[in-house]
Amino acid sequence: MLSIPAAVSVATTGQTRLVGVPDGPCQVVLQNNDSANFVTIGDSGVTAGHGFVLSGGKTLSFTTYPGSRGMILYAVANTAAVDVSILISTPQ
Amino acid sequence: MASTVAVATVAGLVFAPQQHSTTATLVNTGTSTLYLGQSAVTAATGFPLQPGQSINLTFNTDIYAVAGNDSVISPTNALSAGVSAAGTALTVTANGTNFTNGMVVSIEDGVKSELVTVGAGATGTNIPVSALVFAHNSGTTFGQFQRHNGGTIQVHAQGV
Repeated sequence: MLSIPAAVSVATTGQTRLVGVPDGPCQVVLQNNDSANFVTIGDSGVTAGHGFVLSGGKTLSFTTYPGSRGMILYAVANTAAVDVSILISTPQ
Repeated sequence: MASTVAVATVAGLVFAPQQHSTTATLVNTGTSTLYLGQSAVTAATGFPLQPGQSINLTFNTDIYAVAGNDSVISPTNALSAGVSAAGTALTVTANGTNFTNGMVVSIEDGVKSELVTVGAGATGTNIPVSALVFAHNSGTTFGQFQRHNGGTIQVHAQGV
């Protein structure tokens, strides 16, 4: 099924809880809605220098394997708060 | 198999999987942002798909899309002096030239809100417009009106 949580405003300080990824299999799509600023995605200790960079306006999509455990992703913005849209697709 | 689906300001079905698990690539082939989601999707709750952007989705259930709402966008300004009904110019303190010939402007004035069209020759403090229906007080805000005409999504479905 398709789940679209409310967009998350990622702050420039600390680590903002971005999304709870359910147990696999699932597909998660993250979209940086701010064309001018990037966010860095990672675990609870993510910092601007250590994580996966999602550039302005870009989309990240990944699929987890059946049986994989869920996880929580966090993010931090670089210079201004950034809205990130989320889409989660799971088997019916 | 590819198909093109028109998306309006009322949510409509753009993709229905033919098998339990079906992958679909959705491409926004229109010129404005469309929003993906379930049957009750709105511009506020959907996943935004920008013009030209594509998204590849797996594990699909029915996917709906909706266009954004009509909106007031930049440039915006406010009257620096009241204007009478049938008036043909808006007076502002500055930045009147941001309003160009042919631009449709929404005057935000409650039940007296209305649309007018900008004429040629705007100056920093004077914006010629088509004749107003209502009078408006100083301080009334206005801005460019953007009508959302919907768009199209091209759907490429692949069974897995």
